[in-house]
Amino acid sequence: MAVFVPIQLEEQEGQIVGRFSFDPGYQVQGRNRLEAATKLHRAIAGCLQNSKDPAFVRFLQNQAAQSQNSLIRVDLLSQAEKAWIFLFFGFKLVFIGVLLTAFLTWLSQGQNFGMELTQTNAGEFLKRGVMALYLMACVFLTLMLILRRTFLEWFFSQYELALLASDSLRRVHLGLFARWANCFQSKSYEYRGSLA
Amino acid sequence: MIEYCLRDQDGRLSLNTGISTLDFENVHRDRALILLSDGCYATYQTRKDGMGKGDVSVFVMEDRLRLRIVDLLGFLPVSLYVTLLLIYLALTHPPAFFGAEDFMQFFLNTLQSLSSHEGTPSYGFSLGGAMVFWVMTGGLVSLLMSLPLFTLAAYYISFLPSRVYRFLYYNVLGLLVKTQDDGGGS
Repeated sequence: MAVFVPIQLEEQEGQIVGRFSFDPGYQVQGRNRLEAATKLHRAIAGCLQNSKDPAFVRFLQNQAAQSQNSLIRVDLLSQAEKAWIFLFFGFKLVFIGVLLTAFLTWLSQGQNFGMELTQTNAGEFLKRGVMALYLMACVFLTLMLILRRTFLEWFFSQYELALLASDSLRRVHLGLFARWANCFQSKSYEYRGSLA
Repeated sequence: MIEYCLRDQDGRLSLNTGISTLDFENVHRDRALILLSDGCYATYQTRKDGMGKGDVSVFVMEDRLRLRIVDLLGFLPVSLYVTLLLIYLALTHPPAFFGAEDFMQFFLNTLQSLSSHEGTPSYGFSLGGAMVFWVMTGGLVSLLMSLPLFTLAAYYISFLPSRVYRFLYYNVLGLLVKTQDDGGGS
């Protein structure tokens, strides 16, 4: 989910000065527009992604709707958070996969895929083992590709909506993921004004 | 950071980037932001410079997880290694892969052994067998696509016709056509 933040960029004495429209007290300077906008992005991303306050998000959406200025696009989830969540659910998938494999193994106990290892059939047994490994790698690759291509974006957008809707999920997410994933983010800016 | 400059016509915005999937014309402001938000990460090309003069700029951070064409450079040695390994295995006939009389028959036997036990042959359709077959053939296609030769072939098959067409159109047909830049005609 993208939040658009209204900003003002002015040229003063050969430098570009950037401010948030809703908080002109905070200003950054840059050699060009992109540099000033990048600094503002770092500040507001650190503020927004570390709090994920729904009231602040609504306030920013109202400000963007009223403003006719330039805007910065900020994601509610940072890239690092997305990577952490992806890894977390990836491990969860692996865990489920191990459980399912164990269940199938339990079901096929003693059958050994219709084969027993003896003195003479080691080659055939090895072939089947290699084929089984190949099969597992194929399943894993296919699942990962499908996940990355189709479900990941949808999943993150739904997750962001859930974060804004549920206060308890937000608190759990902040403690589990956001606090650790965003530990190197800028903490230079904090909005102290009114959200009305 | 990338700067998109949008033209403002009485509160309705237009974006002209030259990327057909991203551009829009005369759209309400809220709708324009949604369009930009949906489209930018999916389709934009990397542009470090601004997109020309506009009334409203939207600054978008570059997606660091985006796959670029240069990222495939790291993939190339791996696929090259896999190719060489397969060629080596095919030439030396190690028992683990090619000891069976017919590799395709072995493939089918393995598929069958997953859905039915030995000694009780069944040739009916099974959902598990279909899934295994789908995954295995998908894996074969993935392996095939990871080969550099396949990549080169796909490149030439897909781009060569348009290159030939462009060469004929601009370099051959262009010799016969005089434009205004040629010096005002004969």
